[in-house]
Amino acid sequence: MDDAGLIALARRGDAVAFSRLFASYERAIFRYAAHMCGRDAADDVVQETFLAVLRGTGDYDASKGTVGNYLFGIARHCVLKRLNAREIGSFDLDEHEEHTAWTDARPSVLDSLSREETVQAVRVAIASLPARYREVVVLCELQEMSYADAAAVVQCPVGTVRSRLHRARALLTTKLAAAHVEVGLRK
Amino acid sequence: MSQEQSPLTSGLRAVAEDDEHQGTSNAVGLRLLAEVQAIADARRRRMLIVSLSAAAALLVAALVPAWRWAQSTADGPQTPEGAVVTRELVTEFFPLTYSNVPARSGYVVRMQVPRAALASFGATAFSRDASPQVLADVVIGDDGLARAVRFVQVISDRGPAEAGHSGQEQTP
Repeated sequence: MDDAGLIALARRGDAVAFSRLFASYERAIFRYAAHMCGRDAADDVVQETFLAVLRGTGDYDASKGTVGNYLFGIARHCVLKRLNAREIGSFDLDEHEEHTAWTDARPSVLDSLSREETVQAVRVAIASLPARYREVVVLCELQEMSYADAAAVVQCPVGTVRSRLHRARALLTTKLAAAHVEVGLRK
Repeated sequence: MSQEQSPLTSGLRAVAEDDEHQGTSNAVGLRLLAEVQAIADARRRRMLIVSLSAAAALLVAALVPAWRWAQSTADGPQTPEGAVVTRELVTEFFPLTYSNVPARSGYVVRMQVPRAALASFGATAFSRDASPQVLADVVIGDDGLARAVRFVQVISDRGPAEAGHSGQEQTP
């Protein structure tokens, strides 16, 4: 049975169907929520997302996208409620600036770090990104979502996803370089 | 792709791999399953109510015509036109010779007796038709002795078609 069928059965009280649906998506939604608004809120986001599915507050329309996109759309709505609306809701950034090529001639700052240090440094860098950039990094880089799917979740053109991701990577590089300098100075 | 992107991509991959160990707490799953169970229970209740309502509707649909038919038969003429209805007029029981003999049980036998028997009990007014016999219910004890007797008159009434000819009734 496909995921749309599982949603229909779960809404009729089928625990097995719900469990299958939940097992398929809860981790991805949890990770997205954890990166966007913190681990403490991630559990609540997952719960609200699936409650919305069960209660049918957001009807699933297969013609509008996959079940995954539908669930991420609900989760994003829950995340937005928790974030400062201006942080993720304002898209007044000049898109031309986002298209500007970003190059950094400095040597890789991650080459000298251990894996754990790398993970920690990248986590911190991602968390410090503006929400609209953080979001595309989480969806496209960490969740390995296609640009088209990410665009469907974020509800913007695919080109915007590309440009934000490009800008986000540049910001991450800069932040990681700064962190490396900081660590070096402390050492 | 710049020279910086490859290590950054590796770093992002490392974060993604590290994230794979993360997931929702068990409590969330349990709360959601409880919600599913509540939906199932509510659905079962709705189905039960619908079933009971349907059964009640069917019962009403079946009983209303029957009730109306019963009402119409109770209110209207109880006999079809032309049908003969019989009823009985009876006297009180008159004690016989062995009426004082105790009996543990008994039974009633209906028989025809000579009309003169009416006179023996002073009930000549009970039946004035010309037949030489009259009906009587005789109470007989388990010892075979007759204890009492009463007289019976069967009256036949015609249905509405012949209602005008039913003036034969006599009362004791």
